[in-house]
Amino acid sequence: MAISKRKMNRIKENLTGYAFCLPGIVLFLCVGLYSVCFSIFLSFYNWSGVDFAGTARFEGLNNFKNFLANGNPINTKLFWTGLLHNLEIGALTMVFVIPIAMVLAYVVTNIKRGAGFYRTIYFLPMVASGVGISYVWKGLFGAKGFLNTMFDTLGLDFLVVKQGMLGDPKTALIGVVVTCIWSGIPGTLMLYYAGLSNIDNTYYEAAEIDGASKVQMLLKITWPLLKPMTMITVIQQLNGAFQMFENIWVLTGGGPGGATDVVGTLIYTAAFEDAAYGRASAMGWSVFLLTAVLSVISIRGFKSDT
Amino acid sequence: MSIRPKRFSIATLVKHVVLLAYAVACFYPFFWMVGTSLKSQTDALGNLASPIPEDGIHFENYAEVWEKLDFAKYFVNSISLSVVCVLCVVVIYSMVGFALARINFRGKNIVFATYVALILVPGLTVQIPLYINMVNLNLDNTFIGLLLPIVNGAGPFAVFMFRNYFMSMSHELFEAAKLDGCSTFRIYWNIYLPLALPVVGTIGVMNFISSWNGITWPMIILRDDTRFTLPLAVMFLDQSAFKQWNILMTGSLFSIIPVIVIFMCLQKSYIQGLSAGAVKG
Repeated sequence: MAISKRKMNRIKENLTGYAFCLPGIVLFLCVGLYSVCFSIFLSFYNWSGVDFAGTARFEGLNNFKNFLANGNPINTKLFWTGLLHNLEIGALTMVFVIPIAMVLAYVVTNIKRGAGFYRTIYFLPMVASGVGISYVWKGLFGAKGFLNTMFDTLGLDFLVVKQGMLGDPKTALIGVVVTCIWSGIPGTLMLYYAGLSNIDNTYYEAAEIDGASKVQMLLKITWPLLKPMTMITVIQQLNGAFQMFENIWVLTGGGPGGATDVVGTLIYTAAFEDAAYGRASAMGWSVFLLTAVLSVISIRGFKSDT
Repeated sequence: MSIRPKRFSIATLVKHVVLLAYAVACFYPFFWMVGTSLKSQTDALGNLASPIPEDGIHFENYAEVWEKLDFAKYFVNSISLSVVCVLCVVVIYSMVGFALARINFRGKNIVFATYVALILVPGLTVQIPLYINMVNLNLDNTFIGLLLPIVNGAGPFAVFMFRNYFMSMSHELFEAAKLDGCSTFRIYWNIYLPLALPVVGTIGVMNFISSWNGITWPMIILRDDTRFTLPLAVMFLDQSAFKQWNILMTGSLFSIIPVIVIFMCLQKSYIQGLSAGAVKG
């Protein structure tokens, strides 16, 4: 016998494994891998979209220099301002979302009646966070919208923004952050909610017997056990903030006057309006590297601090 | 001292006030959307701030958007995209997850590591070559061209969730079925997949919502407005020279109803699967 039975089984198992992975891998090879590789490749080329072999020009690091290091002063300024906006949106959103979501999740798990009702309503913003809601914000923030009218009625004239919050370069970013907080809370709330329901009640019972106070239990049991959730949230928000595009595109289009431009809107305009595919890819991968580094740093931070 | 447990306390009241306040903040934008969608055109312009129509209720906005502005067609486009996308994602990636969790094949670790690494890939950047790729394959402006990258993009997270869930299920299940002469595919299809319903729910809901709400890729790949998805059609409403808030809000309302209905129905399984998949990760 040429092949032992054992070897046959081994081969059979290998083949079964490949068969199960086949559709996913074929799709990945045709759509995913090609795009990722070509995209990295593109960031070193100057190309306007037609006939790569004939017209593309190898540029080395020039694409990166163009917007990172004053290769083109306008693009450099746009990029760093955009990146700063990403950071501001991400940081401000996180600062509000994490504590609000945590408190709400805690309260929802600790009431006897109505938890299901609240939970359902709380998840609405996440579910419906598409184009439709962006237009609602445009209406609420508009010149004659809900916010201005409310401030006006309450006599808080100094809070009224004449062109509407999203129409004034000074306040537009705040408006964007408000919408991000609103749609960012549910996902985080859900994570904390799941985390809280998974905490074994015996921990609290044991602590109670040992005479621990409510506050002590919160700090010594709840918070440490929720740490994985906080870590996921921080990484998610970070990623979300740096990849932000759709909501801003609908809300402001990066305007007025670039006041809400983020790297995402710059990439989109560079690629699909100016046909500067190389520069757009280079911008994307620069931000990717930054996000990866920040994610690793925050994972390290959470791990070392237990 | 009363023996009866207290039925009502200040603490409970405070809790409910906090919860209600946030519930109002969550709900108000939707309320305004519905109210404005029922206004007449002049009412919507002059009375933008209030959600209450002052010039009568105008249900004819709905008929206009649905029929005259062809939203019925965009609705079908969006539903077919999301349903097909969910089916593909669940079947393709539960199979990969199953193989990674239960079958020993060479290269398994590489497959898993690749998928995990891909979670971090920047979506928008990759859409540039993706677009070029689709043009080369003659798939731009087609349903398949729209669908495939969305399914592929959902892969990493779905594989991760399915694998973790299948790993957490008892191995004896697999061995016992194998001894009884069950083929590997039947073990997957008849035993493991039905038991993984919570994750199927989570992945399904998640991908239904994201494929429904996504605009970047449809915006890039679709040129022909008969193929537009619902959100693109809503954006189209906004581009008319004169802003009709009532019409815009009616379109917006149509674009969010399906996702809300889906979520309401599958909420329980969504949360279950999310905690099961995430905690064991």
